[in-house]
Amino acid sequence: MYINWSQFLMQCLALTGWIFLVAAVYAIVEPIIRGRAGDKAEGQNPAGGEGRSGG
Amino acid sequence: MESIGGELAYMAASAGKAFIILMDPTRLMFLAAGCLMGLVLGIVPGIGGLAGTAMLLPFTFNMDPYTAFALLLGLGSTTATGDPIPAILFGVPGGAASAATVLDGYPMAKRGEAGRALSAAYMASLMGGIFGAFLLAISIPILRPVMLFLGSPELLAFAVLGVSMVALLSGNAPLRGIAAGCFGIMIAMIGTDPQSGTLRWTFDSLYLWDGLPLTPLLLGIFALPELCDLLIRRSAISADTSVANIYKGQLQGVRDCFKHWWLIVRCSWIGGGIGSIPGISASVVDWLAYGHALKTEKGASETFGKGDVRGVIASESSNNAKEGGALVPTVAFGVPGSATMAILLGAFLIHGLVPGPDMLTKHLDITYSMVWSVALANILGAGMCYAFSPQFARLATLRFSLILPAVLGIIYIGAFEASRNWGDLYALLFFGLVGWLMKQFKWPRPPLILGVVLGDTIERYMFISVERYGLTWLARPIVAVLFLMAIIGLVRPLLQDIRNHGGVKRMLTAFQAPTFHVSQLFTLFMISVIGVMAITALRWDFSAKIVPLVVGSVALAAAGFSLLNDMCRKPETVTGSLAEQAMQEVERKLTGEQKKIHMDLTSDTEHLPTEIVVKRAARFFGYLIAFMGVMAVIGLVPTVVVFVIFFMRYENNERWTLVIPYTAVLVFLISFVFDNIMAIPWPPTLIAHWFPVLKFLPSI
Repeated sequence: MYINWSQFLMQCLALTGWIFLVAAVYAIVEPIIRGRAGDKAEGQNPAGGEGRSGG
Repeated sequence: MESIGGELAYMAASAGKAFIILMDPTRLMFLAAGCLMGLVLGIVPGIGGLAGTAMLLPFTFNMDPYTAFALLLGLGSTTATGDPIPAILFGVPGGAASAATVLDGYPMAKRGEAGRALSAAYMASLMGGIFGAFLLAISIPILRPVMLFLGSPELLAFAVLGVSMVALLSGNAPLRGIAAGCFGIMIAMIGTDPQSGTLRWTFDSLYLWDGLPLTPLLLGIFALPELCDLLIRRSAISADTSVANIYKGQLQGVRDCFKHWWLIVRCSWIGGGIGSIPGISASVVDWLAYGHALKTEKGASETFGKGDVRGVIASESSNNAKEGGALVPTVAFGVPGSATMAILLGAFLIHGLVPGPDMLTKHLDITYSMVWSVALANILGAGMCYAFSPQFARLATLRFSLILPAVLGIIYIGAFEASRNWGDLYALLFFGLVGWLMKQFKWPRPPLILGVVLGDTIERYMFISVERYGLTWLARPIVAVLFLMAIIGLVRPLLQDIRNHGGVKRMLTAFQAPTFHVSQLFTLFMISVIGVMAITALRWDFSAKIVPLVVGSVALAAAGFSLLNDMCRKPETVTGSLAEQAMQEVERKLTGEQKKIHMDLTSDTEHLPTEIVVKRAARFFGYLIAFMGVMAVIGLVPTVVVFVIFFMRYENNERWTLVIPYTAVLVFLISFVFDNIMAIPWPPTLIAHWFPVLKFLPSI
C-alpha cells in the first residue's frame, strides 16, 4: 500500500481553501436564504427535536 | 467409524486453518474495525446494522473472502452488543433488537444501577454471541452428510421456501410481502438472459446489460430511507441525561450473568434457533426470549418491567445469538434468514462463492472463518463496550445534522463503487425513493432484497433441474416436502383469516363497497410497474420469459388481492406482525399499570402530520438530486464540502466553530481513505474537463 503523503498534504491544503471559500460564500448568502425561508425559526437547535418548522 | 474419525479430523483441520488465517494482523484489524463500526451504528440513532452492512459491502470487493467476512460479520455481530447502551441509559432502544431491554434496563439505570445493567447486557451479549457461533460450528458436522443428498432441485426448493417464508413473516402484510419478493426476483432478471441472450428490461441502456448491481439497490432500499426519516424526525436524545456511574456495579453485572447462566443458555437457544428460521427478524427474538424469561423465571411477574437484571440478560443474550443461527441456512442452503443475511449472501456471490454444499466441503475453511469471526467479534465488541461505555453513550445523543452528512457522503461513494458508472447513482436515487415509500406504506423490504439476491439462483437451478431431470424433479421427496411447506405457508394466512372470522361466509361479510385511500396509490404504482414489466416480457424467447412471467403473475395476483383487501375490507383490528404479537404477549403478562410499550417497527414518523413528512421527504430527495448535479460539475469531495456546510447551517444552524472542523475532518478522511488508500476511480467531472490542472484534487 503506497501513500503519496505530499500529494495528500497538497489535497488537504486545497480542500481547506475550498472549505473556507464555500463557508464565506454561504455566510454572505445565508441572510438572503433565511429571509426567503420566511417563517423558519432562528437559533441553534442543539438537541434536535422539533425546534424548527418543517417548511 | 474410521470415516467418521477422518471426517472429524478434516473438520478440525479446517477449523484450525481458518483460525490461523483469521489471526493475520490485517484481518484482525478489519475485524476490529467492523466491530467498532457495528457498535457505533448500533448506538447512533437512526442508521442500524442493516444499513451499515449495506454501506460496507462495496468496500469489500477487493478483499479476500476471509477478510471481507471478518469485516461484515464484525459489524453484523456487534450492533446488538452496542444498542443496549441507549436502551438502558436513555430508555430509547438503539435498534429493534434491544426494544425489550428498555423494560428492565431503563428502570435499573434510574435506580442508579446503570453500570450493573450495562455490564450484564455486555456479558449476556458476549455469551449469547459465543453460543450462536457454537451453534453454527456444531451445525456443520450435522449438515455435511445431509448436504450430499441435495442437488439443484432441492436447492431451488430451499430458495423458493426461503423467499416465501420471508415474504410471509417479515411484516404483517403477507400479500405485500409476496408481491415484494416476486418484484425482487424480477429485478434480479434485469440484464442479459444467460440461456438465450435476450436483453431483459434493459430499456436500451448499456448500464443494465450486466444486470442491476446489488449495492446501489441495497443502499437505496435500506440506507436512504433511514436517513430520510432521520431528517423528517429531526429528533435526538437529550444530551443532558447523566451518564455518570457507568463503571459502578460492573462486577455485579458480570456476576449476575454467571449466576443466571442457565437463563442465558435458554435465551441464546431461542435466539439462535429462531434466528435460523428465514423471515423472523431481530425485532422478534428479544421479545420471545423476554417472554420466555417472564414465564419461566421465579418471581418474574412481580419484578420484571421494574428493573430486574434477568430481563436485560434474557433479551440481550438472545439477540446476539441470532447472528450465528441465521448464518446456518445462509451458508448451508443459500437461504438467508434475514435482510442482513441477504446482504451477506450478496457478498458470497460477489466473492464467487456459491452457498450450499460447496461451503461445507470445498470452502469449509471459509465457513469456519465465519464461526471464528462471529465468536471473536462478540469478544472484541463486549471488550470495547466495557472500555468505552461513556464515550459510546455520548454517540447516542448525536444530532441528525451531524450524522446525516457523513453517512450520505459514504453512501454515494459506496453506490458508485458498484460498477463505477453514473447509472449506479441513478439506481441509488430511484430505489431510495421506492424504499422510503415502501417503509412509509408498510411494504416489507427484506423480501424484495431476498428476491433480488436469490432471483438468479432460482432461475439457474430451475433450468438445471428441468434440463437434468425433466419434470421428475418435482417428485423428489425433499423437493415435494419443501414446496408443500411453501404452499402451506402461502395459504396459512388465508386459512387463519377464515378461522378468525368463523368461516368463509362470515369472512366475506367483512367486505364492503370499495373505498379509496391515498396510501393505495403506492400499491397501484407497484401493480403498474410489475404489469408493464410482465407485458414487455411477453415478446421474449420462451426460456427467457418463463420465470419472469410466472413470478410476475404471482406478484400481480398478490398485489391485486392486497389492493382489493385494503379497499374492500371493513376496518378491524389486525393481528399484527410476529414481533407485535410477541410484544403484546409480554405486555399482557406484565402486571400493574405499565404503559403501552412503544415499538415502532415500520415507520418512525407516524407521529408527525403528513404535510410535514411530505415536505421534509421532498427536501431530502431534493438534496440528493442537487448533490448529484453539483457532483457532476465539481466532483464528489468538493460537493461534500458544499453539502455539509449548507446542510449543517441551514437545517440546524450549527455553529461555525463546529461546521468548519467537522467538514475538514470528514473530507480529509474521505480523501485519505478513498482516494489515497483505496484509489477509487471517481466519476468524471465537468470542471476537470475545463481545467485539467485541478485533477490532483480528490474526485475531480
